[in-house]
Amino acid sequence: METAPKPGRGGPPKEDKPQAKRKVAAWVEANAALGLGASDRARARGFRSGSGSGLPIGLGLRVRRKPQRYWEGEAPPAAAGASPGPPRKKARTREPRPPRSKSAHPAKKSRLRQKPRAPKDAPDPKRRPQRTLSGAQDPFPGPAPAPVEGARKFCRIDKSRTLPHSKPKTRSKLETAEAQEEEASVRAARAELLLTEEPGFLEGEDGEDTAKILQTDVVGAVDIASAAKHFDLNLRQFGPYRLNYSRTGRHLALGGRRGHVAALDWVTKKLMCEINVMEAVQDIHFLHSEALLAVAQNRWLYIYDNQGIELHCIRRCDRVTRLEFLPFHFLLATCSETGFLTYLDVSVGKIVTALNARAGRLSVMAQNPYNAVIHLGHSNGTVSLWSPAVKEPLAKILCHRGAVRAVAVDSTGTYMATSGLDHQLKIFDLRGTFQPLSARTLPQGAGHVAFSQRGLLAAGMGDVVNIWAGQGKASSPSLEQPYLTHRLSGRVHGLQFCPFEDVLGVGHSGGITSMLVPGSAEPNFDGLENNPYRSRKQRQEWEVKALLEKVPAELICLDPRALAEVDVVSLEQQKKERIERLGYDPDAKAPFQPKAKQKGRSSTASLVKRKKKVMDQEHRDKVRQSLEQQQQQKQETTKPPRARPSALDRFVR
Amino acid sequence: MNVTRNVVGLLALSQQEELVELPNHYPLSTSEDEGDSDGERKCQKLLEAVNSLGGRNSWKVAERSEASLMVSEFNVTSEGSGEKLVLSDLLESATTLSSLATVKKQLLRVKSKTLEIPLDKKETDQILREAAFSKTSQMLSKWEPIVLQNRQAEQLVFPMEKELPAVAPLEHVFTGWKTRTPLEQEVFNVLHKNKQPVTDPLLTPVEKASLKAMSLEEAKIHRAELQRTRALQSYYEARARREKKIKSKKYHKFIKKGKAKKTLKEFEQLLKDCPSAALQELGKMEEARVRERMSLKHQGSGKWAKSKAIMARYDLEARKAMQEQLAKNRELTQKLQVVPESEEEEEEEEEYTGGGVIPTSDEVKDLQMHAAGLNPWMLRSCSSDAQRGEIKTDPEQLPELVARGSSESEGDERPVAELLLKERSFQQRVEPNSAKPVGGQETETEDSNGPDVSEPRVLFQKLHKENHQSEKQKGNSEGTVLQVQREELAPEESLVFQRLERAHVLEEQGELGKEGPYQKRGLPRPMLKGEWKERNPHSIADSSRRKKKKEQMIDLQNLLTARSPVKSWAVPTVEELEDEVETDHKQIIKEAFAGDDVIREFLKEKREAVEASKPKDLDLTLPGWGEWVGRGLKPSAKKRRRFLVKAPESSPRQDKNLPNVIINEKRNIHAAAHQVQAVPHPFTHHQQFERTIQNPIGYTWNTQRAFQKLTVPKVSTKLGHLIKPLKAENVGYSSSRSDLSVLQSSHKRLSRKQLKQLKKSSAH
Repeated sequence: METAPKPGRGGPPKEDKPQAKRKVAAWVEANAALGLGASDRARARGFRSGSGSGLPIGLGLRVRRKPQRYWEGEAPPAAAGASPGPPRKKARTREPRPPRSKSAHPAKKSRLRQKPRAPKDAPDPKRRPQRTLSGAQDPFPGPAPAPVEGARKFCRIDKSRTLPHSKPKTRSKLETAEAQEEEASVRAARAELLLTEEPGFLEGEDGEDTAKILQTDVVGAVDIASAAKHFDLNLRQFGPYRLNYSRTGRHLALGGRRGHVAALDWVTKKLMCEINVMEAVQDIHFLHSEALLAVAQNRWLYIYDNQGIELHCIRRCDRVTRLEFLPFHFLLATCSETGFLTYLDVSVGKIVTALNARAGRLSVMAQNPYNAVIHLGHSNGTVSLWSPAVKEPLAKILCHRGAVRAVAVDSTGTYMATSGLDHQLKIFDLRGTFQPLSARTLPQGAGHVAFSQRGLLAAGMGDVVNIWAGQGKASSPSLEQPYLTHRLSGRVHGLQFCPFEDVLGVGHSGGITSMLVPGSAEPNFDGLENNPYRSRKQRQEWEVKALLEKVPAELICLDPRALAEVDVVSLEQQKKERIERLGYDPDAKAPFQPKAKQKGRSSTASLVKRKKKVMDQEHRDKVRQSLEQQQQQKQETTKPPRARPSALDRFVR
Repeated sequence: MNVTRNVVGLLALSQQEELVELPNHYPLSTSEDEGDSDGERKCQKLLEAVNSLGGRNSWKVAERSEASLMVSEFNVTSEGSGEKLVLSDLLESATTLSSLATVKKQLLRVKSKTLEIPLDKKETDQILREAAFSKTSQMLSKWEPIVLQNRQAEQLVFPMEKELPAVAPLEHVFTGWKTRTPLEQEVFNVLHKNKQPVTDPLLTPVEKASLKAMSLEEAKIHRAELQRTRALQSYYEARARREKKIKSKKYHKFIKKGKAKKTLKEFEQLLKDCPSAALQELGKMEEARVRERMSLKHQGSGKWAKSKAIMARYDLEARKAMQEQLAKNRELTQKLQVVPESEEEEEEEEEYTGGGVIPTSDEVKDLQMHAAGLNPWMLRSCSSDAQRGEIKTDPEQLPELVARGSSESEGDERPVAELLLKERSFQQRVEPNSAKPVGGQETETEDSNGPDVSEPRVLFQKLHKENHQSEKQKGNSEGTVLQVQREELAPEESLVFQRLERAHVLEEQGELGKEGPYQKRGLPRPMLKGEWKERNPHSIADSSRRKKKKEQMIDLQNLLTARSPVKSWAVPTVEELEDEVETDHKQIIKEAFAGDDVIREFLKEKREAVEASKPKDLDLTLPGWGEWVGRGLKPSAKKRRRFLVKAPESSPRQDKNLPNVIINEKRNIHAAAHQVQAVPHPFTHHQQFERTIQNPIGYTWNTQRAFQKLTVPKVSTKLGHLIKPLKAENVGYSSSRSDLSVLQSSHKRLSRKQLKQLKKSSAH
């Protein structure tokens, strides 16, 4: 296969290289995306500055009409010689029209047949609304078909649980809710059409190992704009570097161990600021936007703006080793050598909580982007999960026999990659079970791990970076075979995938390397959420909106959908109190009261007898039910009996 | 009544007066009131009485002297009609009888007009109430669907009356449009002149017409063509079928000859026209001839065979050769029965162990026949190869062979693979004797320099002799084992390389046998090629040269591209930077002490957490109550049991079955403050309510349209518009107020019958 240029690619396609025995196929750089977000609201704002074809693909689809044949007889006149008419497919992207009544269809057909014979009839717009003068037919009659399969992933109502019996009124409400969900999901699935960009990929020729493909080959095969994204910053003077990309993926902050702090627009290579803080820099992180920069220095935590001006020195966060920012909660999470995990609300400048992890020095931290839970790695091989609302860890997972060296969580919150001193790299399932899915022993163990937006896993081992890929999005990376490897000029000290760009930033002792990893980033960005091309004004507007939508810190918990649940504990408590207050249970079933009967049959004795009868019946039912349950349990617990009990069984221990 | 009258007649006259006073319905009683003269009446009565005594009881028609309202139905007679009423008339209805018109008339007049006794007020009221209720509820129930609909509606829009702006397509609007300005008229003139479509913009009528005409013509031609070809094909097919059925050999010969002649003619023609093509043709013909000769059809028709046949009568040699030839032909054309190899080998083993039959080269040949499959032509080369092949299995030579043996044995292909199988079984018997470490490849087959047919035989014999004693001691254990394994493996033997694999498996088995019982492995399985290769990697390198020649079984491409763990260049360089040395040092120390401690610690921690989260029992015993108390004395067990309040059974922990996880079961009270704490009205269970709030409605999760639809207000009104109450007319009902008013106004005294009717009507 040759290097086929994809439509979304910027720059001219290159001809096949003679040395390109291996194929670096169709590598689409992510930034060629038109500004089309995950939802169709992004259409309003999707701009694109810079080079590349700005045409949205998929919108201007040509319609291939079914050609009219001579044997099809008297047809609507215009349909016979249909020129490639207006792009009617556009109509499909629009909202569905109200469904037409079925009875309308045959009537319409018969009218079509009559039409050519009596063309002079006075048009009656009310009677034949679908008929147009030109005779052009709707090639796609009726509402657009619903993409049921695609809509399934947008369904959010958990239908696995069976509901208790509901009254008709309740049922109607439930039905409405389900119908709404279905409609919304179908709409969302239809709007996926607007996600025009496809992720890039790297494919070996005839099962050739992609890990053998060097960065130089990749760079040689891609277009100029993408090739420019691969660069090395040679900064040997200020020691190993930590780095951080802003949420839009446009800006890069780097902090050298020996005090070098710089922020730059790495796409244009425009430097925003460069300072030396004259103190050891442990970690560096952008806050909600690229305008603010948090730097964990030797003593305290500092916040700089994009000019390099020191804005704050936060002395309550001392000896910070790692920084994480929770963008939807506006929380800066810091972990320190003193063993404290501190949450700082950057929108109001308050420390929300300082949690003592009671596990010594904390230097391994990662956030779960799905539920904003902070993962801390400890020296006893455990990873603990923290929320600012709870003083103890939400969960503790024993991951390694040695200390945990690095933790990373993928963007869907499904997988956690950990690396330990036992030279193991493990991937855990975070969906309730916390069990390892796969493990691999690495020759020297990984000191840093990072997940990309599309689930690629990068691990830095010494001066080598290995990247593993999975089957697709939301699948765990298979550790069998590395997808890419790269050797750096120094030991890896920081790793991060750039959002919305197929780029992996590696900070090492020799500076910064930005390497190309095809298929790592999400190709379509949400223009209202993270717009790499936003202007200053747009950024300010976004800032205000994001602040208005700030999620309270106490809502962080393992299951982010807990908010859609009723607080059962307090519900029951309230019910109990109410019963206590009233002296009876208003919701309880009324006890059986026998009806009065005449002719002496309503004597006290017979009343009691009747009551007793009903009571007994109920009791019997209850007993029967419980017996059935017991039997079921028994069946579950008893093992299948062996074929024949042996006399030697008694010696079995 | 008749009876009373008779009685009256029988009574004494004196008593009659009293009798008369008795109330009776005698018709005369009506005129009784007016009686003026007593004497006259009495006389008349007497007369009557006397008359009545006389035999027959005849009816006397009551005569009406005066008009009155009351007419008894019993007085109806058929007198006026002049006809007698017959019994048969009574069976039918009166209406059909035309003759009884007068009677009918009378009867009609007679219909009773008595009023029934009115119901008492209480009852009437009740019935009226019931009727009114049912009527009203029925009337109101008409509104029920509307009310329900409005309650369930996602949005109510007020004011109700709204007119949808009819969105007419442009073309509809366009038809009503007339040219007004001169410019427009001119434009239309031009259009009309050129027959441009005014309303239908796509095609001109001329264009349309031409298009249609052309297409039809074309279609007809096309169709005719198709029909013709189809017919021709069917004719041809039929003819061919017919010809095929003809059994006459002569005919076929004739046909064939004709064909041959024709081709010859053509060939001659070709020779003239284009010699090079003719040469090619000649080559083809030659090839066809060769094929024909090779097809084993001509056993006795060849030149050599013919000559031999002539000579056979006199020459013994020639006869022998002839017979040989025939035998060979039979052998070759014989259908081969595919014998499962295991059986075959079993047989052979029997032969070997029994020591009765010694394998000859013929047998080897047979073997190869199987090896080569069913194609006898393949066999030829194979067998000749094998005949030339020398099998060196001498135990003395083994050690030196081992050095290069592996590569060669593996490198040899198909024909050899089967031999391998053979020899393996043989070899295994050899090895125990030789007692030398053999690295898994013991055999070696070579292309021998001097082709010697009898050599294998000799060798086998020799070997057999050597091993005979040990064989017997050992028994057939190995052999049987092998057999079993072979039988297991028997099903998959379609491909040759699989056989090769099997050979390898057998080899393994041999090794296993040597290694003894302590090294147990699973059942022998057909190994993957790659795996095998991995085991003896150097052999690949050695034999690669050889493989190139005849490579069908082992895919070189596959071998080279097979994934080998990429490590060599991905291994990080081990060099420590001074600032990391310190931490690494610490880590190394920890690493050294890491191990079981971590796990034990974690389990301990988990146990503690579980204990802490368990609800605790409440002990309410008070020492000293009812028994002695003091140092060393404890309340009795019975008492303690009695006053122990057991904690309720808690639900099982989430991490119950997850040994490596501790999940905190504590409730997040801060998050709970944000949760819903009460289930709203129509819902009876929290799960029902949860289902309605699970779908997010914000625009972060929905498309813009969906968001708008999900957050639409329940009621939308228009500013400055009155919201009038719902009218029946608006909804599509005619008002039925009159019914109710009628009902209320007719509050008169109604008879039971009427009420019943009323009730019925209202109920329906």
